[in-house]
Amino acid sequence: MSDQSSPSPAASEPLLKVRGLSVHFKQGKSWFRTRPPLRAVEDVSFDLAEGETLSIVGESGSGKSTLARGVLQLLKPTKGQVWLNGRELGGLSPEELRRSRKDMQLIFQDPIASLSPRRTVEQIISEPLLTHMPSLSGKERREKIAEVMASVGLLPDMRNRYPHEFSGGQAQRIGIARALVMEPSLLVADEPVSALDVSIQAQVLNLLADIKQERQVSMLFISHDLSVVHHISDRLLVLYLGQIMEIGEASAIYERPQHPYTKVLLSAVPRMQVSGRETRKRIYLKDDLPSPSSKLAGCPFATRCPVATAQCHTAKPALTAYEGREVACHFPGIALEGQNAVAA
Amino acid sequence: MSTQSASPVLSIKDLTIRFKTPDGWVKAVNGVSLDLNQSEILGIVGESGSGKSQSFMAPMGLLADNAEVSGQALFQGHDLLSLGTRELNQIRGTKISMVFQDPMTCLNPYLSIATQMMEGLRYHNPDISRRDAKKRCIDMLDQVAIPDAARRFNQYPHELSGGMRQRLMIAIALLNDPQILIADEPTTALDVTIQAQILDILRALQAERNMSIVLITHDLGVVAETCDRVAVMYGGRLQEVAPAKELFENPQHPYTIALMQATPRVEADDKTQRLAAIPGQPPNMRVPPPGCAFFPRCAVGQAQPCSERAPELEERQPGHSCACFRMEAALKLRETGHV
Repeated sequence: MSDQSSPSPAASEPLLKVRGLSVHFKQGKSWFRTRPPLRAVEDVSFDLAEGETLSIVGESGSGKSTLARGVLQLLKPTKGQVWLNGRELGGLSPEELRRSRKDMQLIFQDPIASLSPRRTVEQIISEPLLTHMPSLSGKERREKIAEVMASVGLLPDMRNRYPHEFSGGQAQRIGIARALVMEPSLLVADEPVSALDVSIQAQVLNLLADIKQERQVSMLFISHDLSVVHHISDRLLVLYLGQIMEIGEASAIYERPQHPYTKVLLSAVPRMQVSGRETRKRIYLKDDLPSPSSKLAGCPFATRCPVATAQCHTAKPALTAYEGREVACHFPGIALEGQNAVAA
Repeated sequence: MSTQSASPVLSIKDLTIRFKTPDGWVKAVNGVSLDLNQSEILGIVGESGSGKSQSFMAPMGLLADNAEVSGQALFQGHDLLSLGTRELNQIRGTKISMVFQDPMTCLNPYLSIATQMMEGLRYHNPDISRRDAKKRCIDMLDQVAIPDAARRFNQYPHELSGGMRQRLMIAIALLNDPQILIADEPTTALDVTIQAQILDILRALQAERNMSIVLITHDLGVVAETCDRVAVMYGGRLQEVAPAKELFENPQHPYTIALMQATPRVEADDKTQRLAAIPGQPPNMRVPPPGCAFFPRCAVGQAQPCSERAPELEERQPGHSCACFRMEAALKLRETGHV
C-alpha cells in the first residue's frame, strides 16, 4: 500500500519538515497610512514523522488553518521552508508542485460543501486519479475507487449517488475517500469532525484511527476541540496568534501542561462529571484574542496572560526545551490561580 | 442546588409538533411532557434533529409557519400554545426570555447597543425614565462581566468580541428580570475559554435571581458542568430524565449510555481505546421508525417489542425516568465502556 513513486527520505529525515514558516496577509491601504501586514502565522517550525499524528490546537483566529495552508503551499508563505519527503516545496516549479500534491491531501470541515453537488461519488473520487494518474485505464480506476470506498465504509452501490443524498457523516467518508485514493503520505484534516453529531463523530474518528494504523499515513489534525484532539494525537502543537506556545508529546502536555495558555485551554474544557464541578478551578482570560496585525515586542500571550510580568511585554520568549517538550514562556510551569465562579 | 417547589414554573404536556413539507409531514416532536421547576437549570440534550430546540420554540410562539402543534405549555395559569401574539408579547421578553446560538444574527448591526437594550426594556416598562433605564442597562452589562460597561453601552455590536456579544445577549434577555431563561446552544459558536466564562455567568445569575434556565445543547460536557437536571431527547421523544449527577453516574437508557461512550474525554487516561461509536444514522423524521426511535441503532434492542411500539417514559427511581423496554440489558452495556 505504500507509495513508491516519491523518493524515499533518508532514515533520519522526518516526512515533513517545516522551518521558520510565516504567512502574512497584506491589508488595504488608506489615503493616509499603510496598514501593517496581518501576521497570521509567524516563524513556525516543526517536524512530522512518518505515521505520526500532530494536532494543531488554538482558539479561532489563532492561525491553525492558515498554517496548514502554508504548509501545503495553498497560500504562499511569506518566509520559511517546507520539506515533504526531502523535497523543498517552495523551490518547486508550478508543474512540479502540482505533481507533488498527490502526496499531500486535504480533508475539509464542511463535508457537504466541500463536494461538488453535480458529481456522483464515483466522479468525485476519480477526479484526483484523472489529474495525477491519467494513464490508468477505466477498469483500473474503477477498481481503485471500489477499494478506497470499501476502506472508508461506503457501500459499492453508493458510487452513482450525489452528495446531497448522504448524511454529514457519510459525506465526510466521501471526502476522506477522495483524499486517500492517491495514497498520500501526508493527510491534512482541517476540523474534520466539528460539523458532525457526537455519535457520527466517533465513527469518523475511529475511521481516521484505522487509516493511520493501516496505511502509516502522517496526519496534521486541526481542531479546536481538545477532547477530540486528546483522542487522536501523538503530538500536540499549541498555537496562539500564529506562534507556537508549546509543542511536544500529546500525553505529556495533557498530563502536565507547562505554558500558561495551554493550562488555560485545558482548564476550560467541560468535563463529563458532575461531582466536584463547584470546586473545580477554571482559569479565565481577559477578553478575546487580540488582533494579529500589530507586531508585538514581547510574548503574544502577554496581553491576556494571568501571570505576565513587565518582562513578558518587552522580551519575546524563545521556544525552549523544558520538561520533555518545547515551551515559549519566560516562566514555564508557573502555577495559575483558578476561579470557580464569576465575581458579578 | 435546586430547591424544588411543589408547582413547576413551566409545564409542558403531551407536546407534539409536526411540519408540513412538500415531501410529507416531518414529525419533529412526539408527545413530550416535561416540567421546569423553580430555580433549576434544566439541560435538554440531543443531536441535531432530536427536537430539543423545537420543544421550546413552540411555547415561545417561534415555530415556522408550516408547523402544526398540539398539547399544552402551562405558565402561570396560561397555556402558551393557545395564546395570541398580543398576549404572548406580554410574556416573552419579560417573563420568559431566550438566548440563541449566534449573537450576530440577533443583534442589529446598524443600531447601537444602547438602542437595542433600551428598546425591550422600555417596551415592557413604558413608565421608566430614560435615566433609570440607562442605569439598569449599564448595571446589567456589569453583571455579565462586560468591562467598562458605560463606554460599551454607546458602542455598536461589531465593536464587541464574539464572547462579549453573547454576554450582551444574556444581558438583554435578563433586563426585564424573567422567571425563565431559555438558552439554545448559547456557547456552541464560542471558544472553550469563552464558553467556560459564559456558563459560569449563567450559573451565578441563576442562583442570584432565583430564575429557572432551560439550557439546550448537544454537548454532554456543558450539561455536566452546568445543569441540575437533564432531559435526553432522541427522535422527537424524551428518552431519559434525571438529576444531572444521577444521569452521569447512573445512566439507564441505551442511547444515553451509548452517547456517553461515544464522546471523547479530555480526562481519559486510556486514549488508545477505540471510541464506542453508535452505528447507523439518526432517524429520518419523515418516516420515523414505528417503534422506539433508537431501536435501529440500539445494541440491546429486540424486535419485540422495541420495533413495534415506542416505550413510555416511566419513573423508575424518584426523579429518574427512562423510556426503554430493555433497561436490564442496557445496564450491562455500562460495564463494557468507560461510563
